[in-house]
Amino acid sequence: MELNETLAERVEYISGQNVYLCYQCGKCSGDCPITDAMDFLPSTIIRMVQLDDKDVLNAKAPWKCQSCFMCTVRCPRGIDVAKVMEAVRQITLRAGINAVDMTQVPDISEMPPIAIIGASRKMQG
Amino acid sequence: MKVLYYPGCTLKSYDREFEQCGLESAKALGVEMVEIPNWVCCGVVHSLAEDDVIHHLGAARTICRAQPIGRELGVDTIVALCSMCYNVLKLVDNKLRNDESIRKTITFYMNDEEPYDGSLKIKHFLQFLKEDVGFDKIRKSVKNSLSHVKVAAYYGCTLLRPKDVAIDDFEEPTILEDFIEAIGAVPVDFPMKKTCCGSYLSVVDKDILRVRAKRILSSAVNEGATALVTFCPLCTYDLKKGQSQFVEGDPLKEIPILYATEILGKALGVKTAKKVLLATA
Repeated sequence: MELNETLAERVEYISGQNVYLCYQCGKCSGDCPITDAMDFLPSTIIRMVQLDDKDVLNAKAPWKCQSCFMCTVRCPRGIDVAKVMEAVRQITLRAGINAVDMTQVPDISEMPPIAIIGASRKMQG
Repeated sequence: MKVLYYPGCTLKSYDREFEQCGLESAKALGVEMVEIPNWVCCGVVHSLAEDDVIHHLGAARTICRAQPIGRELGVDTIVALCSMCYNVLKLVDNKLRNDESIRKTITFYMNDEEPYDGSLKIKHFLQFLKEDVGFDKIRKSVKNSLSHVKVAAYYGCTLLRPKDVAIDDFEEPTILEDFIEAIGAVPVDFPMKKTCCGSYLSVVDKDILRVRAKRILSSAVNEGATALVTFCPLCTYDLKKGQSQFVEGDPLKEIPILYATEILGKALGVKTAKKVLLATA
């Protein structure tokens, strides 16, 4: 990747989604089941990408997103919002920064493999 | 009738009853589920990055390894019990079927598997029961009455979304309610039936689970449910983990969270389902 590429360009490269289609209606944020645990709403995350606001890479919200696709199936502009969230996570993971250290998770031996593998896949590069 | 069966990791190591009740129930309905030899982990979550093909490999390998067995048995369907496995297998199959460049890349990574030929359909067990076995057949095979149990139909995410893998209408599904009605229990529709349980966040944040379990279970109980069923081992783990944090005496702490195969097995009178406890309200 060229270093002078904008966030929107990097997100589009990874996700295939054009964030400029978003007109900030907030439907994704209204339908997201996990906004209570987020620092920014999904629609705000998209706005930050549109504005090339690098703070989006430090936001917690994309890591709370579980790819439940409620936003994706309901976006009136046809944006696959879950893919945008994945792209924001991927930019960080591809820089070699993990969001979880699986060796430090307590009680991991009591967890089902489905939880461990899911978290490892999404939160580690 | 025979079908190819993909179990997945959690059914083999953590929630054996889910699988046992499923296999025994299928047998009671005249279906032999033939486990795919040398199946590998599907990866649990489907990779959403367009340029990330390597993470489709596990599911792709399993599909390709199943192809010769399918030909041998004259079977054209792979059935998954776990809803997350179904989701990943189906999404990867769609990619392999429709995207020539991904199919080519994946083929280069194969060892001695034959190339993908698109000969196998991926179905979820519930979809298979409806389309191939028929809910009428289930209705006629019921041995134990469950008419006293009001069962909340919890779909979660992966049976319905994204749209192109939905086993029913992705906004207004009724397939699970129809199944519950077919086994002789009372289906309960509730507002939170398609809401995410918190998924793999259970690994890092227990508070998130408690809040989501409260929302989902109270929504079901408010509609009169005395039990809740799902096909997802991760939903089951998360809801139970959330439930365990409720205070004693909270009615939400008592509602049984069951696998749909357990309640099916109970209705059909299969061996493993004998110890399944249902609400007696």
